[in-house]
Amino acid sequence: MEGELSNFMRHSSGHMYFTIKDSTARLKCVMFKGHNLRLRFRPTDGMAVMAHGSITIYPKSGEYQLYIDAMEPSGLGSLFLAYEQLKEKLTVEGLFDNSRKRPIPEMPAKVALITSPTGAAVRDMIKVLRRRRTDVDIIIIPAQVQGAGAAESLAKAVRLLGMVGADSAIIGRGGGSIEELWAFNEEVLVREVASAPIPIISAVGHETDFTLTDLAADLRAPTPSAAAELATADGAQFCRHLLQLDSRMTRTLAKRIEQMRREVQRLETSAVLSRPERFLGGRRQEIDQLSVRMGRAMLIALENRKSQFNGAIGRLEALSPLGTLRRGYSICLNQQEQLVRKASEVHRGDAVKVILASGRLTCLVEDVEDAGDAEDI
Amino acid sequence: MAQNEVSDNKSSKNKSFEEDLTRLEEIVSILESGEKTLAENLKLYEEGIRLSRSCHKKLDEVEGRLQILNMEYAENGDIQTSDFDPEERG
Repeated sequence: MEGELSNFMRHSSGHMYFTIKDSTARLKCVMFKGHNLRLRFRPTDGMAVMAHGSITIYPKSGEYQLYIDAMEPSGLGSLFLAYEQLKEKLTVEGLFDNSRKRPIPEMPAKVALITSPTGAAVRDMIKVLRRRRTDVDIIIIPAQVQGAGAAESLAKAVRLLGMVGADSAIIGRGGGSIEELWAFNEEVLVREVASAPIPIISAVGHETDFTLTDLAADLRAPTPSAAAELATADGAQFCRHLLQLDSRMTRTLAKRIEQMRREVQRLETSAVLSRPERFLGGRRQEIDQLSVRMGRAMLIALENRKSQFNGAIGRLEALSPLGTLRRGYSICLNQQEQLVRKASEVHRGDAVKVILASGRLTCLVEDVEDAGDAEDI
Repeated sequence: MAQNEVSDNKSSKNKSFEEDLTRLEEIVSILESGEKTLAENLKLYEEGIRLSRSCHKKLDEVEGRLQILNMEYAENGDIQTSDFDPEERG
């Protein structure tokens, strides 16, 4: 049976007691713990439900009761149930993960709009896009945004995104009731949006709740106009930014060139380059002075060597026996070629050799006169 | 019937605004850092001016196109568009 839930009470035992009523009748219900644990929603007063069970009579009061073994929300309720179930399933699959969301291009060359070709939403989006960018190309991919077949129509449009050459897309519509927006909660569309080939902004004009398309898109906007604002940066602002960069570039380069120019000028006017002869003159003088000093030093060194040499020669000559000989002395050797120093070393009749400064004599001793140990004659 | 002739694949033809801007910011930053030789700086400056002019040109282009896709043809993989006039419709 179907009706509205009221007087809901959950006993501490876990059993649920409530009434289901409609315009003509009401029936007391019990749903024991064993069954109600399987409920996929929380029953509340006012909720429209569909219940299955068996009728009994409660002896104490004589009233009919329905022992409920299964219950589902009906009408809008069943829509919400389906929404919750699908949302959970897709969340587990990771379709709504933040990591899957792509950044929206700031300056797209072309934007695609998936929306109804009639109505305020499309006009608003075009107006805002044009206000921000006179140059951006816009392509409308028309779709049915509510009613039977809307989800499939929108899904088809998303599938075409890869072929129209757009940099980003907006999928959206103006405000409406929950039922009117329901296409944007359908699985076929949500999956397409999650795997869209280009970044996609969702604008399903509903202030509070998000549709599943909003969760699957790369970005969510509260209204189609807001989506258009997010879909592109302001062209004039971009232009100003470019001009700023131009001016920075030009100023920086001009400064650099000016610096170089001044550096060159400084070098040109420096003493070294402008009056090289002054610089060189001093150097030349230095060189001359140095070479004079060097010459003098060498002469002195030479003189020193010479006198050293002569001194050595003199000493050498003084020590040399040849010098002695030249002064007139002679050397006497006996027959054994030994030096004869004392007369007592020879006898009359010995043969002796006499060495003179030039030449030698072979002599016979005629007479020996021994002068003893006298030092000299 | 070939795609793209009518759909004007603007986005894939030229480099995007974002790419141009990124490169331009890079160039300005290098110039301002004072590194590199004067010759290299001049070359970068040239490139920067070229990028900037190209962006300005694209932005100043006469009104971007406003088109609507023909869904019947699209279903057969044929991308055809026509001019869209938002006022004309409901």
